[in-house]
Amino acid sequence: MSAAEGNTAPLTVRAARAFAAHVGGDSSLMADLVDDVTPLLWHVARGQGLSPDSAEDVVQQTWLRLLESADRIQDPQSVVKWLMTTTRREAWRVSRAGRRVGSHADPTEQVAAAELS
Amino acid sequence: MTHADDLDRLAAAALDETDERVLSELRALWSAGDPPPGGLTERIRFAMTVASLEAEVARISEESLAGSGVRSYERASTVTFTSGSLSAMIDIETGDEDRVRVSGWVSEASVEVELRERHRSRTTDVDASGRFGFAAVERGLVHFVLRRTDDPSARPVITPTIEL
Repeated sequence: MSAAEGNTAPLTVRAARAFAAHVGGDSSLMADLVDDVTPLLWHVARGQGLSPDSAEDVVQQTWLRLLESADRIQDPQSVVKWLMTTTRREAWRVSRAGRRVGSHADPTEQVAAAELS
Repeated sequence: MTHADDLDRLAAAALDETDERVLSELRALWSAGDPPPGGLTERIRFAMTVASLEAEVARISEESLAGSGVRSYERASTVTFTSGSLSAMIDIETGDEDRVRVSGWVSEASVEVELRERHRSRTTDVDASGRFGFAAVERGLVHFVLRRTDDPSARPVITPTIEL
């Protein structure tokens, strides 16, 4: 197991459980899945240089697409990866379409600036 | 052993406490520098519910507030909704600290009312005069979904998020 997999294993396991239940007709865990994974998707979208508004749209679209694509995702274990890939692809498309959006500020600089002030 | 050898050895090793500390600091840095907007996950969950039900979203036509001031969700003691030919009034009675009683009235008699809480949902039919009630509802964010039982082809109506 790689270091990255080890670090995300609990999230992917939780996500797989929630998504498998959803496909089986019980969507009661989907609220937790949205809360768990949305911050990750937010940073994926922002990392592609999207403005906060565009990032919010892209992340919301990703979740709606998950509902439409639920029957095409064969392995529940891959649902987090599917969400991240879909977000990155859509964010990339949106950021290419709107070049006016500036690049995402480096968070280390923001925090450093806050600490220095 | 050279410095480069040390780096290679560390890079190949399993994650240790130092790695975990660095990763959690990195996560905190990202979260502090660029947190997702407040209410984002709630908006996403609502959009997913609307999409999966193919529902119409009712409009709040009137509300009387229990409190006042700026709020992110509707916190009210009485809320009136309309959507097309259907209107509904929901009355929130505070019981003890954690639970409330919800009673309401719908303008049609052949309607099923679903109360959707975070992890569960409950359904009841309205009586002949359009009244319904739910006892011991946990405080939190809820939606109501109204379905016409006399017309299965009618789209369900969902209320915006209400904070109880």
